Amino acid sequence: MDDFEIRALRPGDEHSLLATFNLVFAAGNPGFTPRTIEEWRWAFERNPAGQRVFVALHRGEVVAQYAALPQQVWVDGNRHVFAQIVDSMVHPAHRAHGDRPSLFLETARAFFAEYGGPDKDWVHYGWPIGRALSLGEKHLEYGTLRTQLVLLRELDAQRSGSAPSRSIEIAQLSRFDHRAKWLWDRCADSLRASAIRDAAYLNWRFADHPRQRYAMHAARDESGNLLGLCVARPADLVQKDLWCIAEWLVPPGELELAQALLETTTEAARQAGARAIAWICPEWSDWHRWFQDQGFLAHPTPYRTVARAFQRRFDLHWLRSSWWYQWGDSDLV
Amino acid sequence: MNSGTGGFDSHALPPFHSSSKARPDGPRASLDLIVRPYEPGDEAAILRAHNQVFAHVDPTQPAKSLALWRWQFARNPAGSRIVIALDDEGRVQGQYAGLRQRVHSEVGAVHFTQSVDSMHTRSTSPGLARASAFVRAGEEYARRFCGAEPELDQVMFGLAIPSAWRVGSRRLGYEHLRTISVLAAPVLAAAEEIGGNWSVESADRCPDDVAELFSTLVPDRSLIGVRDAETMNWRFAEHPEHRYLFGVVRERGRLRALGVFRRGSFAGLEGGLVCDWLAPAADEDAQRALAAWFGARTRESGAAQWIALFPDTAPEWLAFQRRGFRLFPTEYILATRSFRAPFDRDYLFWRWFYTLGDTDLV
Repeated sequence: MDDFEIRALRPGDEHSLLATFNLVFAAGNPGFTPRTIEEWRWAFERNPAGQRVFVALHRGEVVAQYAALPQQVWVDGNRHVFAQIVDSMVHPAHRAHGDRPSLFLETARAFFAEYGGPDKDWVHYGWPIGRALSLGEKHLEYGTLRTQLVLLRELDAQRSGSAPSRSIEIAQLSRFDHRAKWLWDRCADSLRASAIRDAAYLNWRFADHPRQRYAMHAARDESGNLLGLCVARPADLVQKDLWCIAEWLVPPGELELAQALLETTTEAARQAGARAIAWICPEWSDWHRWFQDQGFLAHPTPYRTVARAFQRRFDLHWLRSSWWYQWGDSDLV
Repeated sequence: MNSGTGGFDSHALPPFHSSSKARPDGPRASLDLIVRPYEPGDEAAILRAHNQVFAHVDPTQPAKSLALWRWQFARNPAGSRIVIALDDEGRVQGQYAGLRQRVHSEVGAVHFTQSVDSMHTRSTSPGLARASAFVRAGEEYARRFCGAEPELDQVMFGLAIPSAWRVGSRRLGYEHLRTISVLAAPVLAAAEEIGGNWSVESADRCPDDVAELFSTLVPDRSLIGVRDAETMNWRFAEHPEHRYLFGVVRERGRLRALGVFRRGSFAGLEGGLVCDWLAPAADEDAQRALAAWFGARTRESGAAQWIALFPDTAPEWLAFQRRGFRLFPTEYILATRSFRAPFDRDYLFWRWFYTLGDTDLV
């Protein structure tokens, strides 16, 4: 590893990093659209929870990356950082073979040493596939949190739920303000451990996304306070032509409101030409059961939700039974 | 049978051990333990240790009887495997045990083995030695009994509770095949109608023509435990403590589907258990008739719901949800360890069919 410098990202690295990223991820992916510098800056410079990027450089060129998108997560009455591992890569010319040490593993280990720990990030998680999963399990202490199911309802399926309420007004939002956090506050206890859905997070994650356009439907009271939120977009994920709900934020027991939001996003899905609506959330949630009652069926996926926990008390078993996440907590939707 | 609330590890899998496959016959000494396979006469000491361990975890759990042990380990038509770790006074300090199962696969007939009753005692030994008793029994078990060769077991599996999983994943090479969810539905108030050419009868023993039904299932299931009369009767009809009912669905005399029912509980849900469900995926009439029989038995038993376990990749998983079943999470992780191609984790995840009856939990 003498020829490589492994360290946290520094200003000025980004163009070389992006060139390597676009080279690596274009390989074998004919539909790949190169990532722009604006998209990169959105993901890694403007995330309100900060930056987690480690790179390996060879003669000044970024040839490997291990990176994550952090979130502020409310656990046990305090803020802690969980971070989603994304975009890990090694330039093809520098991949491990023979006795050469793995640049991927060396960069990852440096990343974990820098960011993971009881006094640092509590959890690093992701949805790795193929070789990244296998390497991570073998060398980086990745553990499967759960084999990931998706709740899916065909748009023409009969539903068992009640008719939508006409008394609840649902509007499309363009941005969030401080009242978003008030809605999350009302939901937080029922979500056990969840990323804090405040305006900074929601605007960054959805409203300011440089490539994707999200349908952000919300119910509000007369004062404009948010009563419930559903954010979705079309995606080919798991199956083709899905309308994926990225964010569902509804206080527990607000079933009439939930029904109205689901109807509204269903209509948006129809208009977008989607074949089915899909959502993920932990199976312990009452919302998981409620979506099943609305005609959603749990389908298997090839994904494993994988995590590495750094706080002994909050291990994978605890995460499985306590951590609330949806597609919005991933970069998949 | 234990309910998965075991001691140190009720459904453990042995550690990965890639060293020599030589299988010397002599006992292996480690620290102050003798680690060796079961020998006739060991059962009394095994049961003493078993009942001590499991009573410590769950004092309400009845002691395992010799009759149950003999049925499980001595009479399984596919055989069983046991390795014990004994202290210098001949007391069982640890056990690694498995129930073999003949399995139909795309590469021919193979054997899987379900890890059950794995344990270590909580007696006077220090912690490391206690763990060693279990781990070393597991190592010896894998070394002797598991591998790619036809006479060995090619895949080991077990439904691991969290404590078992924690130890197994850290120290014993478990692979997380699937996070287990169970399906449950309220039973309908009224009996469902079935067609005139169909008959559905309850029986105490498995019909002999189950093998013909099994052969029609095989094209849908590339990996499934063999269901023949001998195995089914051992597993269900001859169980010394539980009474199971076979639901025999025939059309004009031909066996079209077969189910096994008993009232019980699984993963905290109580109701009518679908202990086995054998119906071709495309045969909706047979499925409907079998479902009607399960509904009637559940109602008759006084239970409010019926409960089933299938892989989420099996056709029954979605079919049961369409029938009104809802998914409930459990604490179980289906843990596996494979000893030969093609049975890697992805292959097992997408192709292996199992039901509650493939486990020792019902």
